[in-house]
Amino acid sequence: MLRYLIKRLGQTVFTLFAVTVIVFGLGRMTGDPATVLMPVEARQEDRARIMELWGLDQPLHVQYLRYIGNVLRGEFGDSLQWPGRDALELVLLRIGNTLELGLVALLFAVALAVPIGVFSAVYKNSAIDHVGKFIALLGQSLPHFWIGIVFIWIFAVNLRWLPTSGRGTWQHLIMPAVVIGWFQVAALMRLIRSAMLESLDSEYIKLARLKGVRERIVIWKHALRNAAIVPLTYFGIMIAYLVVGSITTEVVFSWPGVGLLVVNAVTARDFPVVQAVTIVFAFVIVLANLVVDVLYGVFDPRIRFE
Amino acid sequence: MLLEVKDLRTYLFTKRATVKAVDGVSFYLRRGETLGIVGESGSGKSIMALSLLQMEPKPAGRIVGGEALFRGDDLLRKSQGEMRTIRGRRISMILQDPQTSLNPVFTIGNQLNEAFVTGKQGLARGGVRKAVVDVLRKVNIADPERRVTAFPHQLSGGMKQRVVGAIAISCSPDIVIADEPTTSLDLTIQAQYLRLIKRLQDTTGVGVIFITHDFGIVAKMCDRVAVMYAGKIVEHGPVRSIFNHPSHPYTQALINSVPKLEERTERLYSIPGQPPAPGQELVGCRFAPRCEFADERCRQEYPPQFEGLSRHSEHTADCWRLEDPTWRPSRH
Repeated sequence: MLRYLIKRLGQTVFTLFAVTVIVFGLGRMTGDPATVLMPVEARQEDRARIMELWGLDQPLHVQYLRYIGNVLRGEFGDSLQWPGRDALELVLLRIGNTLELGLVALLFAVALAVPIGVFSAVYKNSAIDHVGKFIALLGQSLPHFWIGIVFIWIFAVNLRWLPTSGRGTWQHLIMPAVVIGWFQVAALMRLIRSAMLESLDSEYIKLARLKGVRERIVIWKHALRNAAIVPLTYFGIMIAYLVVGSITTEVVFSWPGVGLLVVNAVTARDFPVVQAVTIVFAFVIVLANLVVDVLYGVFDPRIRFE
Repeated sequence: MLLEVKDLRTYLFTKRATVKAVDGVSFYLRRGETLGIVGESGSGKSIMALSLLQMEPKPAGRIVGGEALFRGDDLLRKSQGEMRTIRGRRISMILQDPQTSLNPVFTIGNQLNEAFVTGKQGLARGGVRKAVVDVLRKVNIADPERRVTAFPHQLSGGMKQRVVGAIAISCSPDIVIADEPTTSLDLTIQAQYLRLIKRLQDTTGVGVIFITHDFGIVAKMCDRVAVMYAGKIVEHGPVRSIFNHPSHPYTQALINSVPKLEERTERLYSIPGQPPAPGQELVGCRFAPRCEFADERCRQEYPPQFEGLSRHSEHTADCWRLEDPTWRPSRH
């Protein structure tokens, strides 16, 4: 297990390194920042001075090494939109809010998808199966921002049950978390359903029943424990979706998270902030995948004792 | 009589056809006795065995008739809740493939614990652990104290099947149904396993229903044998009587297809033709299309059961040919 972890950790470092290359490369591909930032009538000498000042006259690999050096020291530069504010600091200030929202969304998705998936498999082709499929598909086919607006209209404006936007109480969390999580229910529930069907059809389930084990234990212990390994793989992808989902949803609900920050940064061409957000998001996703890999070992002894 | 099955019928209802997987099967089992059920794959042996525990493959499978009297009590009339207290406790089963019949994510100890806990609520925590170790020792697993923490993938195939055997005998059942328990084991392990079952039976007096397609194993293990073909028992009797005087052409063909060590043959015998396709509407004798003796009547009408063959009251067979007394084997 320890060797497995060390191996995975090594791969994680490599992934993050690859992410910096992409972020750096994409940044350069959009054109040279000096042209974007300087007035059209700027003189050639001024342009050259700025290029020299920012190190843009150096060959690419030198620029990259300098960039990675800064990243390693946690220096992403100052925000252009809010002069004097460190880009990374701006991100780290809000990442907690985004993670909070993502975590609640994840819990909501799991809490809904697991029972629907399990019951759909146990009562295949029954009313439960069809209703579950309908609820799940609805969440996947409707765009986040639309559900968000409709939710605000119903639950905040008309029913006045929940606050329209912002962050503060637990009531503020409900709508955005449901909007983000609902999207994940469909995929997760279908994975659980098919994994459960396969598991329920297996010989070890037959043997468990032959032992006289209660049906409740057969389903929730023997079958689900095996079926859980399959959707676990999807968790890594799901985390990425949660992050992406947070961007539009945070805007709709004015949730003070990284999503809202990055939308503002993009419109303001605040490159240091955009780069910092990208790296931090990548870090979160890679970390989540590492956790998933560790969970694999927890769920599947065949991996643990490899 | 420990178990008496009368006219058991389990059909599989699919969209295309109704498959009469078990089509009126009757047999009995006495205490401490081993009954062999022999037949090709697809003859309905496994579905028959699962039906006794109301575990026929759902949703397609349904028991449509018959009774299975276990100590005089009809198993087929019991609720699923009542059956749960019989499964594992009174009647247990060993499945064919040890590689897949143990749950890969739980330890051996956990899976055995469950058998004990569901079986005997009275055992204390420490008692269960001791019982688990004891039963593993009974099935010849070396170092059982250490093995309880092992996962299935850490054991060999033969060892896994012994664990499945341990689960089967954990609650000292009255009947163990062994469904081709050695088919997926290699030959030396197979012999070991068969000896183990035999020994356990001698010490506990459990009744065993041994399902196999191998007449060689029947000869070694069983007191009586029932030959199944396309959902019906076509011949039944004491092993010796069946071996010496097989009366149904299918039984004869099966016995002929067991390779003999003392004979040198160029070509192994095989029964011509194929068993009937599932769902095919069957009139007359199921074996008629493959039978060298079949005539028009065989194809039209199912033969009655002839009893007392080879002067043995328990030896029966379903074949029109036995109408003619000269065809009936007699004891020499």
